[in-house]
Amino acid sequence: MLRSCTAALRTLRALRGRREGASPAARDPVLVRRWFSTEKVIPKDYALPNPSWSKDLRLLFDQFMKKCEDGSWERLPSYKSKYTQKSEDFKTYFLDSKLVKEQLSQAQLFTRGYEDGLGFEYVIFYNDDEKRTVCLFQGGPYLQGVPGFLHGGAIATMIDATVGMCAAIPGGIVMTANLNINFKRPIPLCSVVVINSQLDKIEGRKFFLSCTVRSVDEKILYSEATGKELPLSIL
Amino acid sequence: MMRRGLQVAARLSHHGALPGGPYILPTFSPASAFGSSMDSMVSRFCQEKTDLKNYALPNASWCPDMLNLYHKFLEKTKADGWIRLPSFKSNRNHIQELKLPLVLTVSSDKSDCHIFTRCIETEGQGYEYVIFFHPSKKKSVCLFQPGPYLERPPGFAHGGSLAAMIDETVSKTAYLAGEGLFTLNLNIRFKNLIRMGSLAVLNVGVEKVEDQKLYISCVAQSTDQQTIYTKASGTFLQLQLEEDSSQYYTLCLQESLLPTALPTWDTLQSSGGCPGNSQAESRNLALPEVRRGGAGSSSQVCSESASGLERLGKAKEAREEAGVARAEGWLSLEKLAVPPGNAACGDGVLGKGG
Repeated sequence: MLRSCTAALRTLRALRGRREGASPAARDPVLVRRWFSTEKVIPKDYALPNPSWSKDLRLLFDQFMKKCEDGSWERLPSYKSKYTQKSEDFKTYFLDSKLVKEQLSQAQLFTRGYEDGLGFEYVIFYNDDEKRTVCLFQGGPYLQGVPGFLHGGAIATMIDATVGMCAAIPGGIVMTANLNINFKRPIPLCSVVVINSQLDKIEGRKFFLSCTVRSVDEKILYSEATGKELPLSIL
Repeated sequence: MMRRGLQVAARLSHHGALPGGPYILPTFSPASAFGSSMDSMVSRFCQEKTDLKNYALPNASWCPDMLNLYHKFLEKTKADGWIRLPSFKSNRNHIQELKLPLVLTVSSDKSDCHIFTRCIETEGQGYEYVIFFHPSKKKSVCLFQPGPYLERPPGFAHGGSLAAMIDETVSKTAYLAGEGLFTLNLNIRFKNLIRMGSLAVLNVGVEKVEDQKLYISCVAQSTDQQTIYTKASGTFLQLQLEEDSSQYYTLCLQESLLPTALPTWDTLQSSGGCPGNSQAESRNLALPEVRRGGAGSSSQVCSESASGLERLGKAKEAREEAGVARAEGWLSLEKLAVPPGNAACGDGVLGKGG
């Protein structure tokens, strides 16, 4: 049973559904069936404040929620794992049937697999007009690299997630083809950063994006990155 | 102690102005750095007599490919000069008794910090990896098996998790091969997805060491080398970790390297006043010492070079710029590594785009 990455799919579907005015449930028959089944699974939305969020993160979250009120920005919900029809199609197309089901059933979205506050605490907002995503990210003590600082790989993961989401909303399921990150300053552990990703251009079916990681007050530039995303169907 | 402290401070403040080449700085000698000092670094890193749990050992979740290659490399550790690197819960365990040149006192710097790639403790669920390092060839091989917790496209490993693994392997190689500490640039080209539970072999090599930067390449491929998963390159800043000895010594290091340590806004704000201003005052006091030390040693070394004076001038400009930035509260890693306008350093990798 496939349950991960489809968190993004569910988000995309919800986003498109909301925009077009239809209810998300009506567009996903599998979801509707599950809701009426005896096993009621209401997935937890992790992109919401929890006790481990610092004051900075909460303030920023509130600021962006205000921006969402006029419809220009959307908060993207984030689930640990989810099973949808689309991921079933992906599975049959890309994977062989011999794949062990138990292995897949344990799968969960990588960045949501930690207890509150220990790993990745983040929420992503999307602006459709500007084709921009903003991710508010707080890295917990389990993401350490050099003692006291965030692991380069952890921030690379978040940049990949933000850039990927920025391309996925217009482009569907995408895969990162290239990621080039320039680290300017090390990020202290447990601090809040704002990851801003912008869709620069679309060439054929390739999406070119750029991204910056800044401090909350935007005075410190931690990293800059560029990325290239490809829709999975052309691989 | 004082002289050593100033020398280190001087080295770090003006290294970038001098050509990477046949010069030898008082305390940092590229020629000898990869001799006995690497051995002692490796042995300190490996911490053979320790009770800490070593995660880089086979367990039930390892696939047959991984076990085969692991045993093959273990054989090589006996004869061919390879070393199996242990992997502890935190990087702090690898560098016990060494002081980081930073003034960071974030509350998270406690025993509950885990290195990112060892935080999923359940066997087989997250990162299963072991790194073998060859000191004289300055190469590493990492055997990596991604578990279900690292999934993104169903059945395949998350791009970010692979990026983290590449960063981790390349960082360890950079540290042991040449005291590379901070990642400056990481460029990853993803070619193919890695199936969850299968083995990826990462081959890492140090391409060159120039101007206090290490340039490293990494190729991740399948066991049979038929499929290339990613090609990556990384640049690392060399920063020597010193023994945690006298307070003055570490203070010298701290004062000269404060720019790379971001002020901890929480701790500084709690002590009252604007963080930037209070730090700037203490830094300004230290600056004259750094400059004097810098001018003295750099002129000794530059006298042999024809364009030494020109470079010295550029070094001074760089220091003054850096000094201004320090007074403002922080300095970028770029300024520490590459003074602006210095053609000798070239565009480097810092400026290279994707």
